[in-house]
Amino acid sequence: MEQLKHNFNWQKPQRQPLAGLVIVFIKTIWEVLKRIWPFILLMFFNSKTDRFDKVELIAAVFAGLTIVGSLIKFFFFRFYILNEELIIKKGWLKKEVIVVPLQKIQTVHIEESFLHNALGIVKLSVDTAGSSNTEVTIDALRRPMAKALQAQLDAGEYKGVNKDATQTSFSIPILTLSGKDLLKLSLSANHVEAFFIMLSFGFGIYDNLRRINESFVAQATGLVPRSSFLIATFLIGTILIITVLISTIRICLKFYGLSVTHIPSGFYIKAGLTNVKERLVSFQKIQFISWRANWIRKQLGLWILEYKIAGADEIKNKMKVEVPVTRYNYISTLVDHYHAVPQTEALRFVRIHPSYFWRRLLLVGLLPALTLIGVTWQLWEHRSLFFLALPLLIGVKSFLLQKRFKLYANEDVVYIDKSAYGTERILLKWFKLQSVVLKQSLYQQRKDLATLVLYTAGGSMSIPYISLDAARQIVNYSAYQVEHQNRRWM
Amino acid sequence: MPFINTELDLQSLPAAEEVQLNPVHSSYLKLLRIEWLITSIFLCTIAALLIFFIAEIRYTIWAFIFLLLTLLIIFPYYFLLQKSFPYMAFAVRDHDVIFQKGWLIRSIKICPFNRIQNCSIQSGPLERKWGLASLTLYTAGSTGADMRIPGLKQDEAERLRQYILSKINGAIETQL
Repeated sequence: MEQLKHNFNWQKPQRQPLAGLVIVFIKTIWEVLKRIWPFILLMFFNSKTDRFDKVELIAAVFAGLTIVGSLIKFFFFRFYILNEELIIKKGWLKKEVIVVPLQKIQTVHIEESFLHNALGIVKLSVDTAGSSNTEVTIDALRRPMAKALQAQLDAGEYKGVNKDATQTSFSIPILTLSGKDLLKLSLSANHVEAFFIMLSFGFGIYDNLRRINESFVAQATGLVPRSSFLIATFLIGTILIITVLISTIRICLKFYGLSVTHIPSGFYIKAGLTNVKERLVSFQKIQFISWRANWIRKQLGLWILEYKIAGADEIKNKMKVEVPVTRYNYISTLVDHYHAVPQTEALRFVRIHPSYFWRRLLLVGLLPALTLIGVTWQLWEHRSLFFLALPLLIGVKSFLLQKRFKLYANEDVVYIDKSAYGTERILLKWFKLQSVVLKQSLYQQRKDLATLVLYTAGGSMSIPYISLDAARQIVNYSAYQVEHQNRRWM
Repeated sequence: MPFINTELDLQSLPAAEEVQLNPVHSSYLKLLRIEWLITSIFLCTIAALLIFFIAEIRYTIWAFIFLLLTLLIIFPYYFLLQKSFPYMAFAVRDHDVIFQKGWLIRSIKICPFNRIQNCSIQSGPLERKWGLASLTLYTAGSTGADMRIPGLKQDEAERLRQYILSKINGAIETQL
């Protein structure tokens, strides 16, 4: 109801509130620090006064200019809506005008960090279907204004419908996350991956320290057990604890206070502790939906559901719309507006050919591993054999995927059940496809197999080593579905 | 054996694999060969410079490995180019464009007109020499979803572009 109380004239150019200056200032200082830290380091270690002055001067001038530049940017920033287009004007000497047709807007995100909260403002970013540089961000906005703008932008595609009515006629809370769920979710995260990253980082530091100063390590290792086996165990143990702690905290911060509300045009999703994110996912703009769980989460019944929206591909990782689900039957509530999950019992399915396992093991596992061993043998000797872990991992993964992969299809949707170590399920409406590619290596040509790649505006998916007949049927049927009816895909 | 559970007779759908594809223009092969020559000269120069200037590797096994690697890139590249050229072909149907390429990995891509956002023509200095151009069709799909058809005659590319643009506009007007 908030936006009813405030009537903003969007046709008049609007500026950011003065409180935004603080945000701009801090953001600029951070940017400056990121660029001039080598100078600062130099100043810190350099005691000669004459060079000190020069370096200091350059750094100060650079910092000053950047700050003035961003102040100018702040004061010349205007935005307004005219003729169904969001228009942003920035710059003073070099003027820039960004025009985004409201129809092309995918989602509007509202974000609020600690600082924003203290200043009573929020950050609004507009996600378009184009590449990442067509993104529009307004760093500071008063909350009611941001809400009204969000409603206005989202209502852009519902021309003729009462705009206020689309936002306020009903809203049903669907999902919240309790503290216990949050803890379960955090503890079951994929710590293994994070652990290996931290482990290599930890050993890297240890190695560097040892090279820099043998005596330092001797001193430091005096504090911990003597033998190298014990040191390694100690190191691994510490890293394990740190990893679990870090990823637990990260997930808690991300999904704290999650709530999903159903409103007429889509879902309204809000989550976060230090950085509160609010997004409105319009049903129309969902390209496909995937939900996944690693092995532990699957046992606990925890799933992460992701709405794949146009433009939110790999580059825009932070724009991902993810919802943790604590019971499998909640998934249908979140998916049904797109399309119901098909009953798979009655459906035939397509499988991956068994040769997939051997080919992957050979080409992606053994061949690179043997090459790497060959190249590094002179240097590392028997330690090079560690590369044999690669074919092992690839082999197990391909074996599981080949055994468990199932692709179902009916007249409306493709439903893929894709499991290796974890499980992922994908639901895609035929008409959301953008293009289809059928690929065949020489081997696949001999064996009448093919790999399919389905491209949508929300990402692509590869279906490897299926029978050529099935692949051709999918290609022809998808072309028919996309072409025989000219339906709006966003 | 059809697996899609539908009333529709799958066998009656237009089959993309039965479409007669038009090969790209033969002078495009000349252009590819010249590109190969330029790349080869560039690679050989780099290898020669490395061996010449880094004294440590001059008479060692590394010099030999460098040379071998360079040759391993240059000759298979030519072989692949010769082998794959005949497979480069396209077709324009009522509702989509089909493009096929590759010998080692043959790929067939289908781009429906009502998903194309824009299309453009490019032609570099070498292409202009033989009156060639490439047509690129942009979709809203993620990386890799766009289609580039090289080796078209310039007027042919322009005609195709006009035709596709008219199809795109038609598609927007009739959108449900």
